[in-house]
Amino acid sequence: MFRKSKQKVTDDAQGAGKPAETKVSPSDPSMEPGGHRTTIAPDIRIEGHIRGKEHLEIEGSLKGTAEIRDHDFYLGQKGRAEGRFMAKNMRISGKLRGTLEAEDHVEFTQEADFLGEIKAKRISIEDGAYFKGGIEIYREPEQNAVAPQKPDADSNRTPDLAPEKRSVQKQEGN
Amino acid sequence: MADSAVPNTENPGGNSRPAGYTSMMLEFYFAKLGSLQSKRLLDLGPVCAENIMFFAHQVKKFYVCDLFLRFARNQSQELPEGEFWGHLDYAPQSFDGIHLWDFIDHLTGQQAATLVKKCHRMLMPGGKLLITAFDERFASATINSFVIGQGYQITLRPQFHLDLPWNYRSNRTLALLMTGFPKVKSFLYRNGIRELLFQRD
Repeated sequence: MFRKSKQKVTDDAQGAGKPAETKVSPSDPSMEPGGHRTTIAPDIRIEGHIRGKEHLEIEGSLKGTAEIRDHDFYLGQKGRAEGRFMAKNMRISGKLRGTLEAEDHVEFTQEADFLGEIKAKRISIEDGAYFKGGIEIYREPEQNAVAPQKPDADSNRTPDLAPEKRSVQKQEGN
Repeated sequence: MADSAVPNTENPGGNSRPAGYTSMMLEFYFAKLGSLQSKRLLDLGPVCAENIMFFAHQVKKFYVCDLFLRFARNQSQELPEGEFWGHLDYAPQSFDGIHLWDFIDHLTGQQAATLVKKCHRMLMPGGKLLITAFDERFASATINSFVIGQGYQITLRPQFHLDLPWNYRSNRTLALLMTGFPKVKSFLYRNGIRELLFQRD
């Protein structure tokens, strides 16, 4: 049911004609490229609770909860997920209904279709993604917003973003 | 409508795409909202990650619904209009502020009136409705997201995947459309963009 994806296993799987593993994009430093990863294959449907200590990739369907704190969660373009999902970083390219809780970063690619709630430190969304949801940003205790934070040039926040750049860095509050 | 002329030296010539500008309205809007910690705001797109981070840092919870994208899909697939409006299924009086940006520019009169009614229903009494409208000269321009940067500098980012009609409305037409929404403030920029703030009665 699960496919462990170490490098040599990936090579074997490809040789056997199974769907290729989705590689972790090195362009996003918040997504850890290393470590073991479990993949739910495209023709697998799971209902229930998953808890683990390695990255989880869903190319099939998952209904329920997944708790992989300190590790990353990926939902592939053909993947479907419904429920509550907790991880360190998340990359969503498929259809997801439910709640996402990320210790750090949630990224939606343009293929994503999301409906639900998000709690995270950072969020990035590519233009073109279907997105309807409520967003709550984790803040450090001293960063509680008490007044509008005008993004002044002399603040210690992330510098202005180029128009073409879609992902954002966490804005540090004053 | 008593617009305030705001100096803006960018793109006074009227290209096919308006230049960025510094929003006077955003600062005014935040001041009008008051303490933000308990506020609930809804942004109707185009979905913009930078703006999500900007607003979500100010309020306890920030809501986003990609109405542009859903409307474009609805139009291209000729789906029933009721299905589209179903995306605004939020409970009555859910929000203290709603950001429409220039969405109204892409609706027919009837559709715009329906949207105003929906916003009236979703806003708390006294809730704010933020609208941006374009000059006639941009009637065929690409749809943009309004990316908020330093010092409320707005950069317009083209949304090439969105193809929607444009319906220019004068300030007077817009004001007439806003039943139940007395106007609070408006700004007119040299680049042809208008920002308007209305308040639910």
